[in-house]
Amino acid sequence: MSNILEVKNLIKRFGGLKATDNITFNVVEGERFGILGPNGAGKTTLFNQISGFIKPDEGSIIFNGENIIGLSPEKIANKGLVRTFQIVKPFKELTVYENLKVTTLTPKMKEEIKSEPERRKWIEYIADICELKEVLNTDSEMLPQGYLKKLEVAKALSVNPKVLLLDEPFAGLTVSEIDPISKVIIKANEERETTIVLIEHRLKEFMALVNRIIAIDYGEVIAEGTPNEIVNNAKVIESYLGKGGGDIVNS
Amino acid sequence: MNRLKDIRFILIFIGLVFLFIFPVLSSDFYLINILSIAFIYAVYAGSWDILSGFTGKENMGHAAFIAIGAYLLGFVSAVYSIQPWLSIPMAAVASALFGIAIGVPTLRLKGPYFALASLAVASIFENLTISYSEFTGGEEGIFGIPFLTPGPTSDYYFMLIFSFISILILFIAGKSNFGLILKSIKSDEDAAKAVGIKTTKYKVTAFALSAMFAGMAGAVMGHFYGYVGPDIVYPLSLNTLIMAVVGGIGGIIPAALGGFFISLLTELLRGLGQWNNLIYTVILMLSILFLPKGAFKTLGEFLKPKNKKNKTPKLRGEENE
Repeated sequence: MSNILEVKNLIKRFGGLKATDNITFNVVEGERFGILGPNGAGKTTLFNQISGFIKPDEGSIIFNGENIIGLSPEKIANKGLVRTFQIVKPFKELTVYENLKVTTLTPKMKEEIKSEPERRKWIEYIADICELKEVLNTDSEMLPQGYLKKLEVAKALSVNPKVLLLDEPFAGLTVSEIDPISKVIIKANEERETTIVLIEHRLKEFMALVNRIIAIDYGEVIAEGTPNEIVNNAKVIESYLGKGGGDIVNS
Repeated sequence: MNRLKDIRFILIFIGLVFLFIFPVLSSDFYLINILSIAFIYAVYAGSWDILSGFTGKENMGHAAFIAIGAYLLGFVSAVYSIQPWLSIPMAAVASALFGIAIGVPTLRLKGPYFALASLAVASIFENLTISYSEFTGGEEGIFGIPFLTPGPTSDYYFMLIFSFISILILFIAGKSNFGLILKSIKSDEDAAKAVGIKTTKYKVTAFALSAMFAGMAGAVMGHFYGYVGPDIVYPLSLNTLIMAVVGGIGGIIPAALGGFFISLLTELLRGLGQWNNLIYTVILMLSILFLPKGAFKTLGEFLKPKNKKNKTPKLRGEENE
């Protein structure tokens, strides 16, 4: 197994604040990789840099053997590195089917899908994986939050990415809504063989989902390891519960 | 054919047939004239819609696109008696290029910023027109442009066919994958970029298309009146916007119908003298109050064949409870 995504010494400053401070990590092809951190730790800024929405000040991002720093979000997506947004961004005026159709009209998918029947089949297949089949003809602005979250994943998955960056797919969901999303993510990973990089701070569901984690706080990597190692890491506990948090947990 | 079951399609077809035989039924040149002008207004509103209705960039300076077509015709006419078969393609190319030239620098502007920039472009055009009166005729405009065809009936058919073809092309563009992508950009440009849509390319194309049809319609209007001047060009920025919004945006045909009927309404109300503006304004206000999606868009949705598959899903949690 080789590294599909290598982030090296990534630095982004906003004025005096370092939103990402020398972040380095590797994502192995096929794994479900987690990025953990409290609110404001720099997780979304990190995603914005990887997906080309923000240009880093320093460092490199190697995707599939190629440095992608300076490329536009469109170019990066067409190379197979696709992100979702924490606040879902459906194409509101379009139906669910049309939402997915738009993603098949990108340069990348125009090469992979040659005919209209093929396109329809692909969209239905993605809708099937993401449990959206029953709402295919519904206007996306009518959908409840749980479905919008699934649509957000489906749109990205429909581009047939090598790596899927998921920005807090559980945010704003009730416990009963989280389970279907988790299943969709696992299917995307196992059935589509998509490498998953996931940002979350909902610990319980997150830990069950990922193989390997880095924890970040104040823009820095503070720990790296398996979910088990991370939950027992003193620095991680401190970042979540504040100074002395470790003692509370241990006592 | 599913279309045959679609009452909207049948109504438009009947309307078109009526318009095609109208000059046979009536020899009232006043009616033929105001209908001819209404056809051009339909193209103005339809061409506004492909940019503003589909990408969400509210263009408040559509007259600038129209002016390119109309004034180019005016300039050429001063030295050469140019005929429509040449002037219309020329207007198409010039205004499309101009659309791209305006589109590229204003692409990043969103919402009110774009609206203000487009308003500024049209204002600059208007001022340039007045200032460089040796070329533009200033307030007087340019006279002596060769007429469209020899007579009012043939003008009518020319403008009807021009309008029909233009709106059909814009409608097909809007219905196509191109239109779908424009609407995705309108909904959320970042989301469109995130899946790999080259949004710049599509936005610039929408600018070019919108400007091209506005410019061609401007040239047709110039030939029709035999005259180009600020009074028939610059009020169009606001009028086109009103017509498209009252008709309904994001589907070409509702906007075009808005252009057609409001143009007719304006003409017919002229007979009422001082009440004209009051009635016009009240009709517009009522339409926007009660049909905010647009009069013809609402009508279209009402007449649309019902899709049984449309249903709103329940939340998973709700089902369990």
